[in-house]
Amino acid sequence: MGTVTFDGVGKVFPDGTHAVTDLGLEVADGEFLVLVGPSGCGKTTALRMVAGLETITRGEIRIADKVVNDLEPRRRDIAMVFQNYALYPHMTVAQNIGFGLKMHGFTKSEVERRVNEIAAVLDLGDLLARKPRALSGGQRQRVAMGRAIVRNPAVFLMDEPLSNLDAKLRVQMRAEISRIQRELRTTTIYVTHDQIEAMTMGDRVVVMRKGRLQQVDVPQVLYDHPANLFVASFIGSPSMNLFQGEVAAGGMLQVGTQRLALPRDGVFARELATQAGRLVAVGVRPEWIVPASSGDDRPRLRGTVVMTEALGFEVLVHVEIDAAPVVTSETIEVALDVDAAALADLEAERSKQRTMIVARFPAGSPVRAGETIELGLDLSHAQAFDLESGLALGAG
Amino acid sequence: MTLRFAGRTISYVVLLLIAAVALAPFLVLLIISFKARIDVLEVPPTLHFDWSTISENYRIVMHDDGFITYIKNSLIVTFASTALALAIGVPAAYAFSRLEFRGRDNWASTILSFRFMPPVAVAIPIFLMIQYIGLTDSYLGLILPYIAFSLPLVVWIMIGFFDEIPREIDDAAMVDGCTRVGLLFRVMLPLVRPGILVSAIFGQIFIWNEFLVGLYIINSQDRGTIPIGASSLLTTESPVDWNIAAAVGILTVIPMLIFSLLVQRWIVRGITAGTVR
Amino acid sequence: MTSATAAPRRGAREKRLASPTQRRGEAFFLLGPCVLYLVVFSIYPLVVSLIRSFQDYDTRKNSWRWIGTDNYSQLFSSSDFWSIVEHTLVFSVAGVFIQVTLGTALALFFNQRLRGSAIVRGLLILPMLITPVVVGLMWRALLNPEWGLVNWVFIKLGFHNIGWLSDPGTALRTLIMVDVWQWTPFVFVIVYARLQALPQDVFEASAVDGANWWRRTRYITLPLLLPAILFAAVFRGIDAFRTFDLVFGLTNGGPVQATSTLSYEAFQNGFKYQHYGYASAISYVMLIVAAIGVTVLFKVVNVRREDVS
Repeated sequence: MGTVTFDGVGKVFPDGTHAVTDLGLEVADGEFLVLVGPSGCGKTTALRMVAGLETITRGEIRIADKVVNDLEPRRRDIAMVFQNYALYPHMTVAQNIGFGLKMHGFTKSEVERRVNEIAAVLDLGDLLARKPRALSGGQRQRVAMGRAIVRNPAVFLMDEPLSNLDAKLRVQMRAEISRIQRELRTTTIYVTHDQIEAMTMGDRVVVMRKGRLQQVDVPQVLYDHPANLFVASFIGSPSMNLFQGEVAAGGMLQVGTQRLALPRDGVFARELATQAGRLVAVGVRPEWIVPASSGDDRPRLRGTVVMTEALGFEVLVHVEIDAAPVVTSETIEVALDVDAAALADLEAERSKQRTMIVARFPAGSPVRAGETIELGLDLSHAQAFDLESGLALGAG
Repeated sequence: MTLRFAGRTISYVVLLLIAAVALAPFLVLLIISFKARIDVLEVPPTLHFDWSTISENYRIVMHDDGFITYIKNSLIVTFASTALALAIGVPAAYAFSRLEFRGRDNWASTILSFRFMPPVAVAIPIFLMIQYIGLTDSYLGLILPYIAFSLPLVVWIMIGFFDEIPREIDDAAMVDGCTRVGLLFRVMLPLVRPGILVSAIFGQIFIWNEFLVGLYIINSQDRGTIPIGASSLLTTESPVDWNIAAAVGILTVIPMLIFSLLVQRWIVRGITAGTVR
Repeated sequence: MTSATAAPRRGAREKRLASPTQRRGEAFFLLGPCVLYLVVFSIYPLVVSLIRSFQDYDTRKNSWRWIGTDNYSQLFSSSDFWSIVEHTLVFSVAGVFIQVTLGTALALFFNQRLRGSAIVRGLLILPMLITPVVVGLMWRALLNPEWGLVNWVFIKLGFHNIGWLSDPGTALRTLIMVDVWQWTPFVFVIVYARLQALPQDVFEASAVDGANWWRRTRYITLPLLLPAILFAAVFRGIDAFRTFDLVFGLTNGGPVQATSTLSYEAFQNGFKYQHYGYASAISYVMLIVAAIGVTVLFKVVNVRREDVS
């Protein structure tokens, strides 16, 4: 039984940094759980506490209902895949994979049998006699996987195992790890920085920020109903469009100088009904913004096209609208995690009090930079957030 | 073009000059060791050698002066001291590189600072200690202080080598089922083999050459290492038998010379360990 | 260090001792032998030396007598002692200065690609591996007043016969020269390694900018090499300060103490004249100076670490 329980887990480093604070989480047997968040959010520390590589300052971690706080890593029945693979450079592939078995007292023939078995599964048969030095990045990654799988542990722990691979290989390995996990049904905790990995691989995804759990749910719920501004802006690519709007009387939303009619019913309308006269953060995913056409009755928003990116199957249209941007500690942190330029963009938006939003248009849409267009917003899929707390309105 | 050629020529002249300065003392010593006692006084020395003189000089040194015994003693003392210093120093360096404990950096600095301790400051107490436990004139009497002298160097160099190995490897080994100590022996030692080699070389050079402490611990010719045994031959104000003294010098240098040519790369690594990463 | 940061630190430590990856026994097992060994064979002798430096040894009765700071006051009021301090300092500072200058010059010289230079680089390592006693022997042969090769060359070149080791005014300079011969390669190896490790694009960029060799060296190479040079200088400085065996092998401190260093003086007093207490006092003066040097050295090493990252 490979359940893992975090019970009020906290980690304070000797320098006083609170890496993880009051983490409570239940990982079901056989579940693939992904921890995701920007660097420094505590996801890796949380994983290393499960592994026994980091001391638990507060609370308890239980594996299969047994408290493991003071157990050495080797007694926890776990296996781990490391970011830089951590293959033993002086051992062959076969020795690398078999090392853990050997340490756990398996006979030589048993080790050999299981190594060969795993090598076949991972297509490493021809490489068994090689040293890690002579392997490509993808091959090393597979050896690291093999080393974890061969032990048949109660829990797999994976610390950004794909971050050192190139984009193409990463997609391939993503699928392969998912496949293997589905076949083995071994409880897996997977740490990543990449929200696409999180969304595509996890049964459930945990979003963390500054050592605290933000939201844990199945990927689709995370995407459709982010619990707060941080999750909203972190999950999704391109990310959710956020801008400020004032809830006006008569079921209207004031966005800059424009006035949008709110849908008559639906969650979004109900959420806003309680906020009359207040400024809120409005979040609309790019796919719910379409070219306005004469036939539909969607609320319309005017803006200037700044740039278009043709991706073949669709066009990403960047439009600058007359609306105050949402600049909170959450959105700043996410921008900072992208790069310094993203942060500068956010600052520029704030000073101009205009917001750049992205819309997904069908391929071949006749849009050119510089022109003014009308966008149709599908507000029934929109989200509203409290600007101060950052929490989704109507949530809880 | 000609300017460049001239530059090259000057460079080569300088190169030759550097080689000459580095080697001249060795060559002069070698030449003297090939001469009969009286011919040493020729200036400049002729390059006329006589095989019987050469063999006679070296025979005297090897047999009459017991040089073979010194070599044997040097080998025993050097290898034993180095091996023990490594056995004690390598685990300590690993602990300094990986474990966290109170005052770790202060402990490390203290141990390293012993590398710079003037040997004179401890020579007398150590001498009296060895005398007290009755180990004068024994191999152990030399080995015990020599371990202490080479330990700081071993720890210094090895910390550098352990620091170069990613901690992920330790983590992986512990998840795979090793204890700290187990992984040091099973995983780390093979990985820091170059470091062990480098620190062994430096320990050996130091011990091979040491004689301040040894001079007083060893009184009997039977237990003297090369520098100790030969010091009376080498250091008298002006030796009467320059040719014999030179032969002693050459025989002292040659093992070091061969050794250094074999391990040159590692010597450079050792000197730069902890400085240039 | 506020109490706010100190509090979790202490809590974390208590936990850490029972950490899953680190057990109390392991640290003792790994470090114990080394610490114990150094306590017995380095720290204990140092403490004994300290005590002895306040005592006087009676050779006839084979007993120790407490005399307070007499050894030290005798030391500090002795003009011999101060002249030896002066020799030691001149030897260390002048010697290291020359070694650093020459060593850096050598490193720059070997930085150009010359066929065969690798062999010469290899030969350069030899001097520092040789027993100082033999180094002394070699140079006593080379500098012999009657048949030494060096004087022969000097006379051929029209100079006077120089009493390299016999003239009290020259002997210290000779000692420095031989130390330079033996230890310049050490500085060279460190500086050269650093030079090789420097990113090449900096030099290429400055060459493209039109800087000539001297300007490149002066404004780019040397500043980048400075940490390595500094390290080598301090390292060598401490070693030179405690030099004993070269003096023993080359000059025996003479003529008339012209080349006696502190180490040699302590050795003479301790082993030859059995003035153990007095010798210990000298060692302790040295030890304090060396400790200051080591502190500086570790500062330099730390600066280097930050530099790299």
